[in-house]
Amino acid sequence: MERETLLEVRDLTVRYPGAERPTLRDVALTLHPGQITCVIGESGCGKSTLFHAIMQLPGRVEITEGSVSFRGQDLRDMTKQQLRELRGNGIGVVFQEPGASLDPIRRIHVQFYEAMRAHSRRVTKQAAREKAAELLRSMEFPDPDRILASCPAQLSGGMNQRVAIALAMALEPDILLCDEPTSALDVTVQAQIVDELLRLRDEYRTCIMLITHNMGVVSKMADRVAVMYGGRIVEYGPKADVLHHPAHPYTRALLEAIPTLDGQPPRGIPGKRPDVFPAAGCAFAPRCACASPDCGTCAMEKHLILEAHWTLCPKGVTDGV
Amino acid sequence: MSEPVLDVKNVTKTFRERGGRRFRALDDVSLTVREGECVGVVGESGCGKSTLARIITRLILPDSGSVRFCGTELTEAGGAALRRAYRDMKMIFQEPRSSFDPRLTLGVSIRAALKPVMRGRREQEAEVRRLLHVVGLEPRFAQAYPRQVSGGECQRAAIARAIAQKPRLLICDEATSALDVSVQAQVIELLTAIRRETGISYLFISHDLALVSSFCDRTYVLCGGRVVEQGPTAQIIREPREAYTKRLLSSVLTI
Ligand SMILES: Nc1ncnc2c1ncn2[C@@H]1O[C@H](COP(=O)(O)OP(=O)(O)OP(=O)(O)O)[C@@H](O)[C@H]1O
Ligand SMILES: Nc1ncnc2c1ncn2[C@@H]1O[C@H](COP(=O)(O)OP(=O)(O)OP(=O)(O)O)[C@@H](O)[C@H]1O
Ligand SMILES: [Mg+2]
Ligand SMILES: [Mg+2]
Repeated sequence: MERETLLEVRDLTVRYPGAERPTLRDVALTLHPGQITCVIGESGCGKSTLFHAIMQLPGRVEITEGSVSFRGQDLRDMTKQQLRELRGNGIGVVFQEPGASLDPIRRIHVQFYEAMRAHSRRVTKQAAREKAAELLRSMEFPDPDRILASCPAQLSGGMNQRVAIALAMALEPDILLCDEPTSALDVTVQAQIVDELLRLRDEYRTCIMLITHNMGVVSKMADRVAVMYGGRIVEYGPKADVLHHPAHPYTRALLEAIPTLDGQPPRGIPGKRPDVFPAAGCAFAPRCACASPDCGTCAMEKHLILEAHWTLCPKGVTDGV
Repeated sequence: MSEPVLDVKNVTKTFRERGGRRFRALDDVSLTVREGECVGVVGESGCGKSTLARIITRLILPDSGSVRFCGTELTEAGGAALRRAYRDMKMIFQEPRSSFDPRLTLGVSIRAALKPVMRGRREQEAEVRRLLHVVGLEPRFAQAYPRQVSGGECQRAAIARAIAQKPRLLICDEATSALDVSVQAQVIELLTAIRRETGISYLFISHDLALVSSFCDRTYVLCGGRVVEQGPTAQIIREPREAYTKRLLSSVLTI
């Protein structure tokens, strides 16, 4: 059965203005309604950049190759008006720092009203406030009225993070991009947010793409997992395959580094991220336990393991599975 | 036993909100950190952890209660005593990007922190490079502006700046929460090494119980602005007495 495609990212290569080398290389992804994709990978590997590229906020990143299309239409062919419609209604985004999505000195209820009104002229103040209160309650705020009357500057980090998620949800986007939505939250609230995102998916078939370094969240939420390293997706596949039969050596190292409650100090991944990622060959090779000389030059192409599970590492197919 | 590095006693803080409502963020909180000790503070979102940190660093004043740091009463200190306290106590903020001046490069910001303890521009610049290296950032990050780096990179730069003056107490407010597990491990390793070398004390605010369990000697559990439980971390994790602590532990998501 051919499924409807919401967002298609095709062989995207992206650089920041003034940077010598691209930050993302050949990133390809397809998102379907009702599907949850989690993106994991080391700090600085380009996860947030991928969101910036998808949102195409002017002046942020430069797409040098490839394209992003929403419901079959290339974003570059859209008019300013269409792009404005798209951001918020089509694609909602919660940025990594809640501060970036919120105005620090504007009351929360005003921010909800303005965001909702920008997308539908008919929204009344009262309706906006009721919807906001309901969403905030589902975000584990027992007293939404207090939050609605406050400014972000009067709320804690985790509170603002939840407000930002509720604000993005209020517009009922087809796609919700969340960059580390639970990083500032304790586990009880985290679990609640995870349930809420799952409910959103079940009720509205919202497609969710989630950047997180919390493997518990990945395991609870993801349908698909994309593992990034050095600006590339190095492994992609259904959650169970990637988490339980990781094929790329980086994914394996990452999964082994997960801290546990046993009081042992967390183990890192040996070696350090190189300053610049090589233009050719595998970026992880210098830290990889099973690297061989040809890893530095081999072509970066997908090796299929099972149906939808692939990796860039040619060794991953033979090892470990 | 010697006097603790940090001694917080009966601190209460109420915020006044619009419409005259009052909100009690901290209620009679007491806490100590001894020389070389690593003390954890855990608790749910909005329970007052950052408010406590802001009171200890005197960014805000409590309604009542006392904060003693290395023998100085901070709620009353002024001038030279306060400056000395600020040199010996550093904080890593929850949102690292907003703690950097956006108009300055990371290198310039870190160098500014070095000025009181190190003369000579060349020496300072070498030390900036060393500090960046220590937190796993390449020298080029000295030239980057805060908005040009990733969330985790910015957090590590904030750690580099905080340890620049070799403080006696470092307050970490969710200092590793924006980091993936592998970089998190590096940072924890780093903080442990600094502690071994310099005998620094940490007040480690985190919602990550796994991390707290491996890093902190003692832990305080905050709930609704009150300390509901405290003790050796291993004991709190193994045999939590409070229902709230149990709930925190039971909702840890695992693979
Ligand atoms: N505006 C910019 N100009 C130049 N380089 C940038 C800019 N923003 C980010 N970078 C660089 O691009 C790389 C990828 O950054 P990105 O923010 O996508 O990382 P990330 O995977 O989201 O990391 P984290 O987990 O730490 O948030 C980083 O090395 C960063 O230094
Ligand atoms: N300036 C302020 N005015 C009014 N209320 C405030 C102010 N600062 C904090 N609060 C309130 O105090 C409470 C505690 O906030 P705090 O930032 O200390 O929480 P936290 O424990 O750090 O939470 P998180 O884990 O989400 O960061 C919150 O309910 C917050 O709304
Ligand atoms: Mg990021
Ligand atoms: Mg806080």
